[in-house]
Amino acid sequence: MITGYLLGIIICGFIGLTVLGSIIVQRHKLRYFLVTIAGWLLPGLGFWLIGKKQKAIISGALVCFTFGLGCYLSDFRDVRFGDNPFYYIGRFGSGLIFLLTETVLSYYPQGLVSLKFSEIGFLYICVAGVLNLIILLSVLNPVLTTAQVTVELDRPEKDNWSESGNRA
Amino acid sequence: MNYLESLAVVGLFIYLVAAVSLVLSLITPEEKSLIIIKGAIKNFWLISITAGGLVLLTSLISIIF
Repeated sequence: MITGYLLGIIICGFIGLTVLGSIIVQRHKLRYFLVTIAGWLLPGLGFWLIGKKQKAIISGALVCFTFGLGCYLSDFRDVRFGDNPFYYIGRFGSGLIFLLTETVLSYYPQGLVSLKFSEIGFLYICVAGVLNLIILLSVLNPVLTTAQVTVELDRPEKDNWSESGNRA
Repeated sequence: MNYLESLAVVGLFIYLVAAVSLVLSLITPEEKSLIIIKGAIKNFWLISITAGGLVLLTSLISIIF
């Protein structure tokens, strides 16, 4: 029950922050919001949609491989909030990881890997989620650059106006 | 844990540091592959040294107190 509430709060918080960020940065442009959501759902898709395909392939492969390795090391078990809150919240960094761990993986060990490695596996899953969040921030970075360029282009006109005003 | 398992754990942590440093290098606006790889190697050493320093600091604090 508590897990469900926490889940809802985290998802709503993430979507709210994304909408707020895209509104502040890009002045109501929906495109960047959709790119951010796509990047959250599938690692690397955000880079692909903004035209950086090489970075998209590398980052997507890296996050997916780290997640896959984490699943294998944790013996295909999902971490519960009571086991480790940090690893549990870290999974929300990527939609794919979150959905796979919630739906496909079970809480019961499969007996493929020694349980000694389960902590490392959870760490890998958590790190994959956090890496996807960092990649998402990078996807939003060109937006910030565009905004800065627009501001800098506006400045000389104002300076000329003030200079001409002073001269007059 | 036996010797091989300890070695595997060390290898897994090295991979983790390498993955983080590569992603940190990827998020720069730079597009050239060579510069990204150089940045990743630089980040790898920086993270390793920082992590090593933190471990030493934690060990020292735990020994002192």
